[in-house]
Amino acid sequence: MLRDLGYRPYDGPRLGPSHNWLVMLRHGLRRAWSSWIVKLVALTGWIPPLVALVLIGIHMMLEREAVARGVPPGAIPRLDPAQFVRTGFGWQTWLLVSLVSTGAGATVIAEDLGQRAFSFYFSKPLTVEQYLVGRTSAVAIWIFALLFGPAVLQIVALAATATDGSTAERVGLLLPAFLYALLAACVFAIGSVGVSALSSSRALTVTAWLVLFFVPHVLGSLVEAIAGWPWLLLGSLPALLGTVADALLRVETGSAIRWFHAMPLLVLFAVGAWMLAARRLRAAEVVA
Amino acid sequence: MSTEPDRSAEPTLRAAGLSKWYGRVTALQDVSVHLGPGIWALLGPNGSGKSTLLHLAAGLLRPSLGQIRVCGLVPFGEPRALRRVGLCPEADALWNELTGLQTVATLAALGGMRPAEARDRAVAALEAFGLRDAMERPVGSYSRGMRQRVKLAQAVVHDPDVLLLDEPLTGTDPASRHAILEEVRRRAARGALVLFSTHVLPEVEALTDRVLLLVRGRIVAQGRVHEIRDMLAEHPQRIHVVCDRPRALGARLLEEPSVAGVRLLDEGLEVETREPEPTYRAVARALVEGGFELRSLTSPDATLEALFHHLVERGARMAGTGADPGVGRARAGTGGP
Repeated sequence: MLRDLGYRPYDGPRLGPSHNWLVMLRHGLRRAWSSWIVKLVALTGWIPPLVALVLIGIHMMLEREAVARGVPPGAIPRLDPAQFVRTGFGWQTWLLVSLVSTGAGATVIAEDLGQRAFSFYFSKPLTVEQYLVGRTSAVAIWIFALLFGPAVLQIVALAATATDGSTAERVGLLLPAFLYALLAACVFAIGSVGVSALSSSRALTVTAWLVLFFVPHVLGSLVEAIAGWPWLLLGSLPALLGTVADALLRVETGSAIRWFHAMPLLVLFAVGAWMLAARRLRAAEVVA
Repeated sequence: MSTEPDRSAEPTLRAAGLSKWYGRVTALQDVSVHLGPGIWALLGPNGSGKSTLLHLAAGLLRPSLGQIRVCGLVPFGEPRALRRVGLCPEADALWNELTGLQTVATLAALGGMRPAEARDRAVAALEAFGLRDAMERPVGSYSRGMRQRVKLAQAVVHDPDVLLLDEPLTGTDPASRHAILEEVRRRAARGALVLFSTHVLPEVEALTDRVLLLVRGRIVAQGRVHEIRDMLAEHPQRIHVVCDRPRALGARLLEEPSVAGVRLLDEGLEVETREPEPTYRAVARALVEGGFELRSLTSPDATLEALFHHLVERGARMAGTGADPGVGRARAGTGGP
């Protein structure tokens, strides 16, 4: 049935254009959730931290049993909380962040370009910057949740099971974990969205992101293992972020690559990806 | 922050020497128009530049040369102009995974409305286009006509003064078509400027007699249909008269200086003229004076469709010779509907 509800001019207050990034953020979260990859990750993303919790529980039981049997301290290897959290970040990054940044990030602009959805967005008072901030923030929130959520769970469990009076020290891991999750979310989100601007073909942008994510790391690791030369890993995003994570959590790895090598490269990468996306968007007029 | 749109300027669309090219392809060439409130039909064959003109007006494209202003403002990247514009694009670019309500509410919110207000107005707009029962379903499950109505709902949800509709009737059934055209009439009657491109010429005639005809990126005619037709001296017109004693009527009409020729048909006769107004008067006079029994009086060339085809052919011919195809242009109308 067709009904005419009449013409009702909108006389209410109007929000400034600056709030548009929030509209795009909500829109981006909804659209990311529609991706089966994101749903799969949201469902399975809790498996690694749950495994970690089980390990923490087993370790605590072993420690208590050792104390009850009068085993001298040190007989049971001490659980290094920082190393534990750091390992958790590694698993989450390789297993889950790679998937989310591919499914929700590396397709963002390609999909909108391919669908010609820009005629909807940019015929409204929406700027390129607001579009980018909104869409990138949505991807970053997913990645942040995948990294920080499980880390909080682990740190709380580690603090609750501390037997050597290190509860406060373990709770203190929350801040570096937060900072690392924030940094990784920004870098992976900006990077993947930037790559998604390369083409209107999703297959192409997804492939490009997967290559960027995995290939430099595999090559760098091979060269380091064979020739003992680690510097090729400066081309690997996960390796650079891992270096920063090590520094934040104060995990000693003995690697020649330090956080002050990694940070400028990460910043350069993020700024470059952002500028690439903004430039491509400005150039991508909605051809009729 | 509250930023009210400036509604002081009259809804107008003004282009001066507007050109747009994509690489080596020229989509629009030296287009100058001034459109005021009312309904304007944008006609032209495929690839004539209709969508390009609409997208330029909607701020989606930058002119390669010249200027376009909507309500006195350059639309590209100008929020104050874009808040007064509603675009229904031709591309079926809706997000299949979102519901109709989510789609329209999101796009309404981009116009500056608060989320609750955007949702309320999205509901009203979707209901106005007959999508009340389907608005909570994913757009991916919609028919083509329903998707078209979602696109229209998002174009009008913020009450634009300038409504740009690119092939709005595509894929719609007769009932939807009627609702869409009624909505267009209502908005124009309240002072909006509606510029819509279409291939459905009979419905254009029912809606407006003001047209803008583009051929190969150039405007070949602009104004009211009868004005354009009258200015085209070389556009032949045929008048079909069905009556008793057609041979006798034909003989009388051949004496008229405005009549170029007469041909007998199975029923009645065909009168050819390049001066329609005096010929119609002559036919009427001859019928009355001769006591003929008139059964019907029609002109196959008086329709918009006939004029459209004639002008398209003429424009293409002129473009081929490098002559100015815009000589058939009527005056640039800026008055009310």
